[in-house]
Formats: sequence, structure tokens, C-alpha cells
Amino acid sequence: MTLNAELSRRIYTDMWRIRLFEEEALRQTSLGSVKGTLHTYCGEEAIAVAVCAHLRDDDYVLGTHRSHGHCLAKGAPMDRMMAELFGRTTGSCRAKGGSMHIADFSRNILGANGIVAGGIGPGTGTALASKIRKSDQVSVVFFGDGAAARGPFHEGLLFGSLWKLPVIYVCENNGYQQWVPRRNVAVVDSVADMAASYAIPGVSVDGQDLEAVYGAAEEAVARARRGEGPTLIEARTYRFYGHSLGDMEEYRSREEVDDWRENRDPIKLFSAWMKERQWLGDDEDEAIQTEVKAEIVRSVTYAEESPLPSPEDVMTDVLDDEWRVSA
Amino acid sequence: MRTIALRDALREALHEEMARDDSVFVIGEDVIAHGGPYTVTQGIVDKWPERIFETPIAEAGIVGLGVGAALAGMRPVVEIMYVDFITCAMDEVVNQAAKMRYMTGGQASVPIVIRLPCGPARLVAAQHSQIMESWFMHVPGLQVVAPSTPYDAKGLMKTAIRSPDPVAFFEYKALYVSEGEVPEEDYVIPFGKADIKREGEDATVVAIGGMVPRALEAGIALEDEGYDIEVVDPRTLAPLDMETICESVRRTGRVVVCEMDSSFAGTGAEIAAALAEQCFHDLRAPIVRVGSPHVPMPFAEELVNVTVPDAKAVANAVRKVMA
Amino acid sequence: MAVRLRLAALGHTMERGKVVEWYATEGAPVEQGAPLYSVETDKATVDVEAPAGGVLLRIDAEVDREYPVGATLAWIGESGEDLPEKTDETVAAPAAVSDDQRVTPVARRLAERRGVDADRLAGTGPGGRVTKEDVQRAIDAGTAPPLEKKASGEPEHDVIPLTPIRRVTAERLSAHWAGAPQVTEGIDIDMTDMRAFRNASRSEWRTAYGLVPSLNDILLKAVAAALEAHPALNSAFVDGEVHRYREVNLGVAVDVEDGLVVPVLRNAAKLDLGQIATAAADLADRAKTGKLSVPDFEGATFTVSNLAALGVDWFTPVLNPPQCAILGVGRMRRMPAVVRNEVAVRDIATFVLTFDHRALDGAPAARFLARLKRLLESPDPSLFSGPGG
Repeated sequence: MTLNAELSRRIYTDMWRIRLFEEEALRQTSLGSVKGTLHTYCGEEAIAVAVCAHLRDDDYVLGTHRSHGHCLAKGAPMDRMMAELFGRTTGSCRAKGGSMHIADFSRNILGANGIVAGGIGPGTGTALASKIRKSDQVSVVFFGDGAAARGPFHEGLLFGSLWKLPVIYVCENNGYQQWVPRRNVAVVDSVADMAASYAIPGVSVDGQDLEAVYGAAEEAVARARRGEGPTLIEARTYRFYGHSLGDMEEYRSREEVDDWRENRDPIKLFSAWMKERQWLGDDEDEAIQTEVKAEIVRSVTYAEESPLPSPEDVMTDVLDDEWRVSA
Repeated sequence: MRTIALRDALREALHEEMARDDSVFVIGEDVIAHGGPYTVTQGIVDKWPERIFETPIAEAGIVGLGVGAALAGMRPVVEIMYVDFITCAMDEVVNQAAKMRYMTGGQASVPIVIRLPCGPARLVAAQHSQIMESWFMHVPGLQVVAPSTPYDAKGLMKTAIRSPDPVAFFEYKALYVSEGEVPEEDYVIPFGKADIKREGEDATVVAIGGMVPRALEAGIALEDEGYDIEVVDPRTLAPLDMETICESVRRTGRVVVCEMDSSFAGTGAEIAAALAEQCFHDLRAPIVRVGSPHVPMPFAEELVNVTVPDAKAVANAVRKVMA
Repeated sequence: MAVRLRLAALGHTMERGKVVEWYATEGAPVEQGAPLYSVETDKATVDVEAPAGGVLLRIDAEVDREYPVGATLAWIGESGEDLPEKTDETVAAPAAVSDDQRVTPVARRLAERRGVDADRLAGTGPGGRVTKEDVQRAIDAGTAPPLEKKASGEPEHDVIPLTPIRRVTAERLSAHWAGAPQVTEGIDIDMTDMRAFRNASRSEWRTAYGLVPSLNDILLKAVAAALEAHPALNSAFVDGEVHRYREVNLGVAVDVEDGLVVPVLRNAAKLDLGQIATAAADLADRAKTGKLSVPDFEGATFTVSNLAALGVDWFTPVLNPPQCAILGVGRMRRMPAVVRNEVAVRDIATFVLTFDHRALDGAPAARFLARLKRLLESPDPSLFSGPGG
């Protein structure tokens, strides 16, 4: 689908939804309402929204520990996500998962994943299921540059290529593996180069440039749907906040962060890009942000008004207790 | 009733379930060639060539793909050639398969069966002989199955495949060729139901997997001394049917718990502890455990023979609780 | 030096194998690497190459017989070499056992319990032993041969099923025995003067009561009086509490054909000797004709068991739950005794009291016995004559 004005506005709105959802979640940690840690996606929004714009409801998405953006872009209800961060029973995972395991199976969002590269094997597996069932569903696995060091990344790509599975591997290379710059621990600069070892296309794009990601994803999704196998997309990006809550960020300079925020903010860049094309007026821009802010407030109210779990909830959902084998 | 080997019973269960349910598929190393080293997957490629996947040697990938396919509604039956190799895929088993339902607040169902050929056979030493059931028992969200007879193997495999939650299915290599009566028709054995393999009144012997035939052999030998033992086979270790075990121990007042694996922090330790909690006042002698010493499996036969407990070890333990 | 060829494990699950063909005959030359024999495993038939060259000196493994992995199959070497003697390494049939060991004790236990003649069953155990499983299988299949009565000799014992009385007695007494710490005290009582008193009172009693009370009736009267004075003995231990009774209801043990019955003589302390004698005679009659009913057995607060008639000198009675005490009475014996510093022939009976130590201590029990002794050794006409009070 061509990137037209209407679609662009929708994508742009989703970018703001991700940005403001996370900034509100961060604020709520200081109010004590959101506990545990948060890995924010701020600065990387263009990737999730551009990729998910090509997906159907029945396509699969698997994420990382930094997956609020993937969930919102794939259509997970914001109020239930906020309730999950608040640890309420109305949360996406009924307060059992939290930020790092957020999932919404009704949208085939099979979950954030606390294990680096943990989603790559399963995401390749959902693609195998599509192949066996001869459906044209595709699977998208998001992961960071750190995941490219792990075995499951290599094994997953091998299987995906071997059986030409409908899967798109999206590496969000934000330059840091937690607190270590990628250049200190990697031997090839571009993760996309690794695709060659598995005989699949590897594409490296500017992750702050929505149009670039959109184009790369469009081709990859189409190729997967045609049954021609996987694509590895590397989207070069940057995290505006630290790795997780309380990161002292001693490994990068204030100037570096400010430069990215000032000049490489995907929302700013896309806003300008739309305005250049007369697809977005200042009033509309403001209206979009106002509407998103109202949605955020509603989600916080929803979370606050939702019940906390009760002690007996701890024993449920380990196994399917209702199930009995039948001959 | 006809008599078949345990591996044939497993194969039959697989074929029946694949015919019954299109979502069942097989994935693993060498599963097409020869039907795997144990011939359990033989014949599947002829009937369902699109539902059997012979893989690169990449256990994390194999199990990871299985988990994903299961999340998408398929029912993968994964073969890991030796249980020792599952350590290469422990993240996929523990962090992905086992925890997924809980982490997602009950949204996820991971109906995966991981077949784990295990135990000593053929002198293949430390990296091809382990058992490791207790590793899996310790992970909430996993079901652990260890059949000892062809009948149980078929019924439990069919239940495992139909289960909506992950199953670690332990197949004792030494039992693959052991024979027993197996009905040709469809039947299932529910998880969490122990089976009394021999009734007796003097002492209870809880035996797991490969130790069951050894306990039965000990039972015959002990008859000469006038000891009539009851052999209880839990069949599934998670869930674990302590009710049947306790009921037997309350009757006999004496108990030996046998496993082939190292008894240190093992399956028997859990059973013995639960018995001490639930049946202490019924016990007329301290609980005795039988298991391997805490060493990796050695190579030389002379060393293996003193490592793996046999029927004599079981009989000696019974003599101890009877004394 | 000849080379010994052994059966190798050719598959993951192979434990045994069968040589189906030898490609060379004994004495023929073989070349290293040339197919030498074909072995059938549980999965396939595989050709095995000669591991060494030379002459096939001897073939130990016969075609179509099963051998375990590791068994010697053949020897290759130079002509004329000495070889160790051939041993049979086929998968062994178990050695037979002698007839008297043929049925395991456990199998015999089950067989006898179920009336099965295990000696006539086929055995599947080691050495052809008949195991418990063999017996059970025969029982399940309905093919178990019944145990015939022994042709010669008497049976070792007869089985006597418990009568309902016996069963109740057994259950109640064993339950109490396990639960109550019982202490027993005994005392000799000189009945000489009481006998004389009774003889002297005969006509008076016949007139007053219409009968002459027996020594046992007198004893019951004395016990009732002693209990009234020592109520600690007239009590029960129930659920951790002592219940001290207001009435004295004496259980009187009576020996009948089926066993022991203990009907109750109610409110004995309020009865005079004549009433006691009449009531005791009635209970004994009804006991012997089986006409006692349930209420006759209920509510005893103390039991007297008298074995004098059976010639017993003394015995230790067992508590009858929940009562706290029971008195056992032995026969009267004519024996020498010291009376006023002289040896005299006296009628002595030994009285033994068993009590529940949870409810009382030894001293009150001893005081009760002392009072009983006094009452019986120094007959008090006010107690044993006239209406009871």
C-alpha cells in the first residue's frame, strides 16, 4: 500500500501514542503506580509503526524486552497495556507478565520477551505453522542488535531460510547492548551483512526515516507472503532514554543524546516530511497530539480504577486447569 | 492381546495422533532417515511428507520453532536425539515453553511434546546417558512423563500430544526394545495417575521409568526371602500422584524410592520428602532411596555397573527397610 | 595369537543378535575387511567384515541362535593354534531349581490364602519358580488348581470363627489395654469368720429373705459398701475426664458357654443382702439361658469377676472400659495363717484389684482394698442383716 496522506496520519498518530504512552508510564513510576522496570522504545517508534502498517490482524508479531511500541503498533488496546504496567487484573496479561512480557493474543501479538533473541525461534516457528497450514500469514520478529550475537538468532535464520518460511527478521540496531556500544563487541558493523550467511536478503535502513523502513518492510512482507522466504532488515536507530529505568548512562555523552533528540527524532522527521507534502497542518498536528493525550489519560484512569490481583490468582495459569484428556 | 516393543508403541501413538489431528507434526534430527535412531518416527514421511521436518543440528532452533508453532496452534512433537542435548535448548524449554502461559496471564497455550531419549544404554558415557527428569520437574509449567511399559508409553504419548501444555516426555533408551501388551485401539492415560505395577504388602517400592522392570525383578527375587513388595510407578512426575504413593505406604509402612538418575537433589528426593511430610507416622522404618552416585556417567562397563542401580540394589534397599 | 571375534552392538538399542549366515567355513582363509558373517539385530540384518586376516579357526556361534552383545562368535588365527575351550554363551535359559524351592514363599502365602495349589502351577520366575504373579494370573484367569485337603495327617489347626460376644470382648479389651495404664494390687482376705457368720445367719436370712445369700452375694454387698465409701474407685475415664458415678452399678462377670458376659447389678449400694442375692441369682439364670437383653449389660460402674468356682487362686483382671477399676476374686484356700501369734488353719482368698492409673493413684486403691478386707474379715451384722441402707 502506498504511503498516502491518510495512512501517514494514522502512522504518525501511532508514533505519538507510543511516545506519550511511555513517557506517561515513566512518570507513573515516580508516582509509585508503575512498579518494576521499563525498557522504553522512545526514539525507535518509526520502525514498529512502519513494519506493522503492512501486517494483517492475523499476522504474528514477536517482540523483545522493549516492546511497548510493537504492541501498540500491532493494535494492542492501550488501556489494557497501561493496566498491565499498573499490575491490575484487567491488564493484557492479568498482572502476571508486566512490561517485559506484555502480549495480546487477540491481535496475534505473541509477546514481548525478556530473553535476548528469545523470540526469534518461536517467531520462525509461527512461520512454520503458516507453511504447514498453507496459510499466507506472515510473522515478524523484532530484536535488538545484541540478539545477533546469540545462537538462537543464527539457528532461527538458518531454519527460516532452509524451509523458506514467511518470516521477517527486524533488527532494531540502537547501537548499544545495554551499556556497551555495539562497536566494542561486534565484528561486523551491520547486522544485515549476516543475512548472507543464510542466503537471505539483508537490508540496512535508517530506522529514523519512516519512509525508508516502510519501503523495506513492504518488500519483505510481500516476499514472505509470496512464499519466497525470510528477509533480515536492520533498522539503525537510537534509544532516547537509557537501557532501562535508572540507567546512569555513563557510556554515552549528553551531546550524543541531545543531537539524536534534536536532529534525528523520528516523530519530528516524519512530521516535517508530511508537512512538506501538505499532508499535515499545524492544527491537525496539535489535534492529533491532544487526542492522543486524552487517550493516555483514559488509559491511566482505566488502570487506576481496575482491581489489584488477589492472592489466589497466583496459582492460576500455570497449566490449563480445566483440561482433561479425552479418548 | 498382541505384544509389541515400547518404541513400536510410541510409533503407533504418533501415527494415530497424526491421523486424528492435522495440527500434529514431527520435527527433529534424523527423524526421516531410519525414523530416527530409535525408529520411533518411521513411516511418517510416507504418509505425511509435509508434516515431518528433518533439521540441522540446532536444538535451540528446533525447540524454539516448536514453541512458536505451538503458539500458533500446531501440536509439534519434537525429538531431541539424547536428553543430554536439551541443555542446548534450555532457554526455549524453560523461558519460552514453560512460562508462556503464566507470563501472558493464560493467553498462551504451548501444546508441544519434547521427546527425550534418556538413560544409560550401549556405553556411550557422560554426554549421551543422562536422565535429568528432576531438572524439568522443578520448572513450573512443564509436565514430565516417564513411561516404563509399552502400554503406558502409547497411552501417555497420546495424552501428551493432546495436552494444551508442554510435555517433557522421557524415553528410557534401555526400554525401547522391552515388550508388553498394547491394545490396537485408541486409549489415553491421564497425567497424574500412578500405576501399581505389582501388588504387595510388606514394603512399597516407588520406581521411576527404567527402574520399574528392575524393581519388578527385585520383587521376584525377594519372594524367596518371604518379602512381598508393592511396586508403584508414578508414570508422570509432574503432575505427581502422591495420593496413590501415600496410600500404598500407609498400607505397607515401609518404602524404597528408586530412580536411575543421581539421587542427589533428584526425583526420589522430592518423593521421599513428600512422604516424610505426609506419611511419617505410618512409616515403620526410615525411607531408603536408590539411585546413581553423584557422578557423570562413566564409560567402562565395570564403572557403569557400579553407577547405575540394578535389581540387586533395589533388593538390598528393601532388605534394609525390612530389617 | 588367535583373534577372538565378539558380537558388537550395532544399534542404539541392540542387546542381542543372531548370526544368520557365515560366509566362510572353519579352516578356510579369511581376508581382513571381507564380509565374514551376517548378523540379524532387532532392526536389520547387517554384514560384518572380518576384523583380521588369517584362518577361520573355529566358529563358536551357531547360525540362528541368539547371542548377547559381547559374546564370542569365532576365532581367526594361524592353523594349528591352540584355542580356549568353547563355552556356551547363548542367551541363557535359566537354571532349574529343586522342587522344594519351586514356589516362592510369597507365592505360597497368596496361594494358601486363596486356596490355590501352587505346586501344580507352571512357574515363570528364575529357574522356573512359581511367583506371586503366576499365582495371581492363574486366579484371575480362573485356572488356579484348588488346594486339596491334605491326604494324610491331621490339619495343624482348626479355624474357630469369632462369636459376636468374643469379637466385642476382643475389640473392647484390646482397645482399652492399649489406651489405659493399668496397675494391679492384691490382698489376702481371711474369710474364716465370714463363713462362720454366714453359717450362723442361715436361718435368720432364710426367714428375712427367703434364701441364704452365697459368699459371693456377701462379697458383692461388701464391695458396694466399700465403693460407696471410696467413690474414686466407682468412676470412668472418658475423653480425658474422670466421671465419678453417683450410683454403684456392679458388673458381675458370669461365665457362660459362649464366653464371658457381664450383666449389671443396679444400684447395689442401696440394696440389702437379700435383694442383692435375688438380683444376682436372676442375672446368672438369665445369663445361662441366654435371656439377657441389651439394657442388662449397660451402665456398670465397677466390675467384680469371681473365678473361685473355677479353682483359680488369683488372677489379674483386665479393665472393662471405660470403668476405672475391676476386682478379681480367687478361690478360698484352707491354709495355715498366723492369728494372734499362733499358726491356725484359715480360709484365705486373694483379692486382686486392677485400676486405671490415669484416674487414680495406688493409695486410694489400697485404701479401698483395706476397707473391703475389714468388712469381710469382721462381719458387721448391721450391714449383712436386715434391710439394706
